Amino acid sequence: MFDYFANPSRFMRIANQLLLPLVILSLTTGAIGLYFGLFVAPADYQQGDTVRIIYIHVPSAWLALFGYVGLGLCGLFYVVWRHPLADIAGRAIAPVGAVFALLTLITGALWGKPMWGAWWVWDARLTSMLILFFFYLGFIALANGFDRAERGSRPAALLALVGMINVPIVKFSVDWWNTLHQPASLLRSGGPAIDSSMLTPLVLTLIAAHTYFAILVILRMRALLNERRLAALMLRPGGD
Amino acid sequence: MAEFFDMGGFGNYIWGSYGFAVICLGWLNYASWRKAKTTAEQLAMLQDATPVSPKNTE
Repeated sequence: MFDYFANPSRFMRIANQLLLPLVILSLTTGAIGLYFGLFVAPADYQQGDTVRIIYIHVPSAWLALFGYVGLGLCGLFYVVWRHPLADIAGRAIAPVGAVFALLTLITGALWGKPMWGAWWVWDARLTSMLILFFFYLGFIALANGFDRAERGSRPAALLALVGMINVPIVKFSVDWWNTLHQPASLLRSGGPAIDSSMLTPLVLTLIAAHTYFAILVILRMRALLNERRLAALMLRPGGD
Repeated sequence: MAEFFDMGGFGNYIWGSYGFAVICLGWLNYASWRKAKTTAEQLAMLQDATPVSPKNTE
């Protein structure tokens, strides 16, 4: 099965067919989720209306983390099997994941200031998320830092693998250390600790963010594959 | 309506968050679509201009 999907042309054909359903799903869940999140869901009894930042902060944080897991897997596939599609996927994921990580940090700061009285604290969760952002930037710099793009693929893939150490640290930092950041509310033993009036818009915005992420990655993979084909055509005798 | 935008006095923080998200994600979307489109156009142009041989037909 892996070989079947690892063919770039076949993979992109399937991905392109998924694009329209993903766009529709992302727009509808995003619109309904934000409507419920901003208009219908109640304000938190402690945090007031600032809790509405959750509908952008948590989906961003999940995607920053899941995106990095995807990047790490691409790194593994590239280092072990040298598959070009893993390289392309990694290069497509990194900028999208980096933007979601930045969004997590900025929306977190905008939530932290009114609730904690500080834009930033060197808390384990915040610091590990900042490190995750730097891993994304490091990957982008390494992958694009060479005259020939392919030369950067292996060092970038190795960096992506090293950064995987940070993923469980981000996730469990709130349990391992005494952090100012609150512990997990969704993925915790005993089930979600959020009232359904807030959980519903959160789940919807999570679906919207995941599908949006997938759309962006497919588009970027398409562009990168086009670039590779362009380079191959240019190099071929008889090409321009 | 003004009350809605005020968000219990936290409007700046909440709308700041959403505004930043819209700018970041909108820009990323625009840049990704544009790059996919321009590279596809360049590829089509180059393929049209290149003489077809059995080797370069996929």
